[in-house]
Amino acid sequence: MGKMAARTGTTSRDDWVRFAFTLGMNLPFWALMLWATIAIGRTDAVWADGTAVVFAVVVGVLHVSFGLTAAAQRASARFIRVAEEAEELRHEGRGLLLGAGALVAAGSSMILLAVAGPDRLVPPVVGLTVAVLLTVAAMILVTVRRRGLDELRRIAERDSGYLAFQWFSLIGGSWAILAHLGFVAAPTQLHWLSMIWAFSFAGGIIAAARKGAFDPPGG
Amino acid sequence: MVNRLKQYREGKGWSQGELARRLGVSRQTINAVETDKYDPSLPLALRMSKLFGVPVPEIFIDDWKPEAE
Repeated sequence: MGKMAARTGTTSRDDWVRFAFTLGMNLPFWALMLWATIAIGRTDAVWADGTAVVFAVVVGVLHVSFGLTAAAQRASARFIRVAEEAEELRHEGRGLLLGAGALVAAGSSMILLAVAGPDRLVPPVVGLTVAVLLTVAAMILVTVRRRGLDELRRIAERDSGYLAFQWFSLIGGSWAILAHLGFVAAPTQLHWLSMIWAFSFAGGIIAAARKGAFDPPGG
Repeated sequence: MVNRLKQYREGKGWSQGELARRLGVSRQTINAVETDKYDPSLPLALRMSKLFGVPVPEIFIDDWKPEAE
């Protein structure tokens, strides 16, 4: 009983450590985003595309936040007291950091594209150069990370691809059909880009959860 | 597919992390197999069989029977 209480106490402390690291890494980013939103809110140019910009920014912020959270998990390993969990975080450190880098790069690219373009905050040439560099960086990081995945994660990644493609076909496809027939406005390029990243991201989370990748250690 | 991986692992006194390390997979893979969320590949099932020194059908139980000819 005493051992159980001690273990629970340690686990609870470790949860707080992880939470503190996650908050510590995310707060500056959220503060920056809040400041940018208030600053950009004064200009009309960025909001020309309406929902497309909001959608792209939300997708970008979610990607960056999850990336920072993954990096925070790795950074917290030194301060976790449950030895097995700390060892697991250290062991998976490279994969966590590569995944975090890919998410941050993809998210930053979406945020940048939301404010880039003709007559927008970021000139098109700068937007193009940085967005291409960030997208290529995300792809390279994902490819390098894939090489270190074990079979469960490879299968979860494959499943996430199927899910993303299904949603993309269903939602993007339906939208395109309705737009083609004149019922709704056509999705913009920013909508398509946001859908690609959003569905890949959601597919990855759901496929990993279905395979129990987020389950705590048992036994 | 039902399996007895947890019983064999606990019989050796190993944690999920320890078994994962010995098999060269992630702890999540062991957890997913034990909770029947994932059936391992044949190479991994064979590695488990060798590690515990028992045939694969002792660890993984399948009720399927061939039709009588």
